[in-house]
Amino acid sequence: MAQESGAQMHARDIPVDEVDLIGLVAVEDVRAFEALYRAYYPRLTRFLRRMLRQQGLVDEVLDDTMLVIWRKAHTYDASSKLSTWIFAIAYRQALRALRRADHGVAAEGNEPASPAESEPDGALQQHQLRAQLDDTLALLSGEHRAVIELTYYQGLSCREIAEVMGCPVATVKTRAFYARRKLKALLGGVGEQAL
Amino acid sequence: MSGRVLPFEGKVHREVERLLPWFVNGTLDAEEKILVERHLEQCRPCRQESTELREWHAHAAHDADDAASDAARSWQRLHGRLQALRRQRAARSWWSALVEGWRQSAPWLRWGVVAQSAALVLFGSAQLLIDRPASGIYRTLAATQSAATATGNMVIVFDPHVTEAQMRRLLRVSQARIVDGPNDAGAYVLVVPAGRLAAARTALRAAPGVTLVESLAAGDEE
Repeated sequence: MAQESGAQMHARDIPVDEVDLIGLVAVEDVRAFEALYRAYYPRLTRFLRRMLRQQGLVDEVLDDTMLVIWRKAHTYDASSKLSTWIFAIAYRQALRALRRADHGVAAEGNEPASPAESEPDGALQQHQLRAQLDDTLALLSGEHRAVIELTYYQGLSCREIAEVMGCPVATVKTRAFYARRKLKALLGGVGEQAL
Repeated sequence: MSGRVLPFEGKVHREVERLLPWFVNGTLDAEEKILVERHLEQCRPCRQESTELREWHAHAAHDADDAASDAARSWQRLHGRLQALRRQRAARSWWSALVEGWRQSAPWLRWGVVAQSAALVLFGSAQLLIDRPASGIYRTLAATQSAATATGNMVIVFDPHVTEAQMRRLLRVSQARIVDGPNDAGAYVLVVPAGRLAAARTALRAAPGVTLVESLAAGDEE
């Protein structure tokens, strides 16, 4: 429990000892690897859900990502933030999975989630709006979904996103701009409520 | 606005439009932040956009807290895969280490090992050919006499009921030594000193427990 609390503490920002943690992973310390896993689990799960939209695929790609981290930990040279390095691996794994599954742009089975009947009206409305936003985001390309997720939900800087996606900073800015435009167009009036 | 200022303003506006997501998530560097803040003072559409993005960002931050965190169960799944991988790797590590060591060794060393191995194989083969014992040559009782005499000079068949102790006593008395057999008929090939051949044959034929005694030496037939 104490270990998990520590991991949650490190989940958002880059703690100073994350470099130590990845150093221990590089020498195959399983406990350090578990701590790193628990620290990044919420963020990676969220990011991969946005990218992949299928829980089975999310679990698979999450495991693949973490196993790459396990094998390649010794190559991390601290020239970028650890989170950037990890998200770059997750992004590449997700794109590979999307190509394999041929889920390119639109995800299948995107029926809006049915809210529970017992939900109060306010929560019900909020739930519906969020479900609609999620479904609309799913209509964007993988690159646009990634840039929105990394900017608004993961809080990465433009340069960090460029590192994750392996493209110039200008490309990230342009992708974010057009993703926003497209999302607003798709959401219409509902978008203002959803946002 | 002059025609020279508008393009510059348009360029700044486009740049700020593209920077707004990171202005609201607080990750712009100081210079970019100042650029955006100055532009927002003058540009109503960008201010509106900035407000909407702030709402979106707040919504996203709230939504992020809802992300499932069933890390324990997922860790168990991954840990299982990790253990399987480590077992596989351990199983083939000795071979990989050998191959890797071979690949990383200097070419002259590799050639040296190959030459040494080849020399050892040649030496071993030569030794086998030179030291191969005569008893290693398989001879049947039906083989030619010259072949048979190379390993024995008498054949004997004991009574099936004779004991091993009786057999040993008969052979000792005759100074005979078994060098082959028994075959399917129960016959043994013996070596008897040349000078004792006739006497041994006579004594063995007379001995109880012996069914058949025949000489294999050329010119020793009755």
